[in-house]
Amino acid sequence: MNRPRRLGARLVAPQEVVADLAAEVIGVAGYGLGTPTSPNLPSEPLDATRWGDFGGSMDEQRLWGLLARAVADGAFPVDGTQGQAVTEGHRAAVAGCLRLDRELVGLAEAFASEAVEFRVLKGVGSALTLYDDPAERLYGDVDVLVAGVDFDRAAAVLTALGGARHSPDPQPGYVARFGKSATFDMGGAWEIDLHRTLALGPFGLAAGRHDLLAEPARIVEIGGRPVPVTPPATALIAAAFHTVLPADSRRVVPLRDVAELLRPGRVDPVRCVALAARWQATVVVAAAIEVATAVFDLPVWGPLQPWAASYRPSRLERTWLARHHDDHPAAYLLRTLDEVRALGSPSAGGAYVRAMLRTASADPEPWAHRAGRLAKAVRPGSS
Amino acid sequence: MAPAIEATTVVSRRSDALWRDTPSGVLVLGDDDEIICIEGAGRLLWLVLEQPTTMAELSAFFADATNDLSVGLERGVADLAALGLVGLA
Repeated sequence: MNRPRRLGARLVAPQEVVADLAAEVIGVAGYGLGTPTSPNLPSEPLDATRWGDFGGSMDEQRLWGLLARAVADGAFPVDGTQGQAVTEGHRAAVAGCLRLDRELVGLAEAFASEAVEFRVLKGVGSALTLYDDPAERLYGDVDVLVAGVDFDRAAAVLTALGGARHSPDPQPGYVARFGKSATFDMGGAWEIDLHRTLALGPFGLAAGRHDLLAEPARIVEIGGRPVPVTPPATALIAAAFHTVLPADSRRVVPLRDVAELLRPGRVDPVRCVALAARWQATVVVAAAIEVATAVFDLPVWGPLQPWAASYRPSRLERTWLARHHDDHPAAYLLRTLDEVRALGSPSAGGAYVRAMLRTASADPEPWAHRAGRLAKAVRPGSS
Repeated sequence: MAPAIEATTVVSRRSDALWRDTPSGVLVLGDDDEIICIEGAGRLLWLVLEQPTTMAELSAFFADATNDLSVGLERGVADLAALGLVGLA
């Protein structure tokens, strides 16, 4: 049974999503949304010390595009040297994106020839469908989503294209059924993340039980070739996962994607809420919408924002969400139990446990590592 | 040899070009992996070529610009053609 949320309580604190980001970085991340981000933008050029850190953040957060626009609009004052750095930083980042696009076109052709259905996640899909100017949305790899049943065939296509898988499948079919994704290094120049679901942990496993390609693809033209990208409702759910449940370094760009998708008319709210419910991702979507609205001070653009603000998570959702953000070893153990439950049936849960045990017995080092974590859980004071 | 550029010549942006418009110019990925930056009036020319356009139409468009940019248009089109970024027919 769902319990009412305490007044003013948020599903996820915005600070968790934008932790350690300077105000001017958040200002750039929100630039062009038509919201009052100006308090976060400087009124005069940053001094050399702050500029050094700021430039590093622009690289790490992939924000040169939005900064270039803010500078061109006169909204972010820079001196001559800084202006040149913005131009060069943006050009270098765009060059990287164009090279990734070229590789994606080749990948799309290879998938088409093997009849592998896929969607481009984030990246160029967001750039071409959500932003005023595609050059504002930068990316550093190619993410594609396939159905679990097609995962191993898709992986074979990537291998045939010269891709070197970072981590081999711990056992045949494991990632296709229980994993999140596999990363392929393409000649040392770029990477492809091949996804079969949207996140690690119980939310990702629960979503991965369903057809994540159910919403008809949106087709964009890249280099003259039609390429399927995630359609709006799926894109919002995927961006929400990436915002609230990041698997690696936390970036603010997915949060900006969430904000872009909240603009009027972009997402069918009924379809989005229905898909999120089917994929057991409702609390993730509601949390991401709440955080985007708070961080970027968005106006109410549509019904999804009041829906998110009033959403009352179930006890199970609260538990899963809290444990996702808890690094304590005990939470790790409990999250594994959550994952078993997320698989939805005793047979699937049993298969997951057996697969994990087989993986662990085949590779004693991770098992020892895990055992160490369990020991920590028993004796939390130990280090 | 490139065809002569005349008023009736149709100029077409390469359909498989990978490019972005930025505040400092249009960046296009060339065949040799180099990034070509098209600035100034060239950037405007690239953006106008969203559809195949005759030289006569381009001349009229650029003559109407705040500063008459039609001077040098033929040279600009020829440069883009030499880079393989536009086709002439």
